[in-house]
Amino acid sequence: MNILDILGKIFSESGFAGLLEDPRYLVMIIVAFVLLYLGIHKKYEPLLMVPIAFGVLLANLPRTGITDGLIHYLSLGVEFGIYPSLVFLGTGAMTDFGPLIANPSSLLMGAGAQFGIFTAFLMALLLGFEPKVAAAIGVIGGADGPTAILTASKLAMDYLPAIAIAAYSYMALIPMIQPPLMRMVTTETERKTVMKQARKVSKKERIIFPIAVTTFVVLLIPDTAPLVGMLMMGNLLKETGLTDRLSDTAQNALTNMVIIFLGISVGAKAIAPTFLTFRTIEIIILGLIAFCFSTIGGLLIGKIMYKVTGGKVNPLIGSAGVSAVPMAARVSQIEGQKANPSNYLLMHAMGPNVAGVIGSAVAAGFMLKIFGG
Amino acid sequence: MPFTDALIIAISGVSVVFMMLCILWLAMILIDKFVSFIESVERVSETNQPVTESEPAKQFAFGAMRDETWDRPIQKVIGIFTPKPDDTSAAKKPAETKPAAEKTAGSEPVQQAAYGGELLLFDVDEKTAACLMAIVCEQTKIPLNELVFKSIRALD
Repeated sequence: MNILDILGKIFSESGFAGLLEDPRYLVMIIVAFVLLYLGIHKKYEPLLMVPIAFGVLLANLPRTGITDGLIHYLSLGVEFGIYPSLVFLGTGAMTDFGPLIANPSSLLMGAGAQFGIFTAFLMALLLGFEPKVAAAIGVIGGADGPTAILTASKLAMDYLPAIAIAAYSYMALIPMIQPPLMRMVTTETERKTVMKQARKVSKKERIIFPIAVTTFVVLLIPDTAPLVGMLMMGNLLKETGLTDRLSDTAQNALTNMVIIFLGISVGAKAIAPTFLTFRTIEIIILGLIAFCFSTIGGLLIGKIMYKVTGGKVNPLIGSAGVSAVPMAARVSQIEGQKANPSNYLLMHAMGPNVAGVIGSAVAAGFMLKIFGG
Repeated sequence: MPFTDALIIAISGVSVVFMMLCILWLAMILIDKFVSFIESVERVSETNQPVTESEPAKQFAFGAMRDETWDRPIQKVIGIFTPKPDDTSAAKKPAETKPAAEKTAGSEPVQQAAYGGELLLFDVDEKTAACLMAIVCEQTKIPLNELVFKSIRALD
């Protein structure tokens, strides 16, 4: 044995040799670098994009065996739908449902903004996806990462990474995707509409709301229990004022831990042989279509409400129904102020925004009910 | 899956989402009505409670919360209390002695306030009242939106 043999043995067993054997892993490593760039430099949903990208990187470094050990066990949280539900617990604890309670008609805009889910579902079927997979792809249109991940983990595990990456990418791109659609669908006069300040919501209402929503929604569609139940429990912890420690944990420590596990697990599912297919590109495109149709659906309901109320509702808040909280509401505020600098739509847009979270959970529950069995 | 079946599923899905959120809308209206009713009942029962022995102590407790942050005009203001509509002896006395000082119209301002939910100011200007409310809020650690003032009265 000489030194060249030893070096040769080290190289032949290294990851570099693995990359030469199957260059698709190299492509995935480049994809991971691009995602890291988008998350760190472009600040596209960095809290999720960075762990997802790093998961992609870890899983595609050849011969590590990490996907059979650490990541395999972390992934169980995704497979059993635990992480998305826990993220919803934190989301609920961070969300103020006051604007929705003050203006319950916002729920209609939240419902309208789920239109893209069903449009993308139909288009995915036309492209030849299995019905289950089509349903999971459609849920990208809900603009709700945890909901998309939960649905994909139950209906289309093989496509989970593509669906999750598409969902979070488009959520990050909301400030670019929505404004042209908002200007296309609404008129200048509609965008200038100034809305009256919403009424004050009492503490009692805030406490009763999560209990009532959980009871009604889960009784009607039991499959929504993990998402709606956790969302509302988180909100109840916040609103009671007696469980501050639990609310704080749900908002911070627990959510942060779960996001790390969720991100790595989802990213690690994006392994070259399953991810680098034409289907992934189709999913990315379908996700964009779903997003656009959801935005348009919310805006159209907003326009109807503008007409019905005699011009008291600014239709721009309808686009916030796509549930990406609070990004979509901020976009409504910015567009509203561009049309009329004295316009303050943020709190009004938060109503459809949180209604969208409930709406997308209901739509996902419907899909799971139809295709999950 | 035939496309017609898929179309039916999609239409059903949209309908279910709308139906569910409409039911929620209805439920929220009912919750609003229910909470408003409960709160109005609570308000009425609060205003109908007789002035108890502990009431002067409560007034004293608020009055005793003076510290160096109180300036002279605020120190003049010593009473915050919940008036009793039918107990006119305590409530009407200042009105009889200083009728011009009261900012509310009518011969029974306290009773009006009890049901109207307005803050009555007796010999206290709005700026002083605002300072006083802020101090009480700070001292009691009760959020301003949960703190209910019935009246503020200067006694000297």
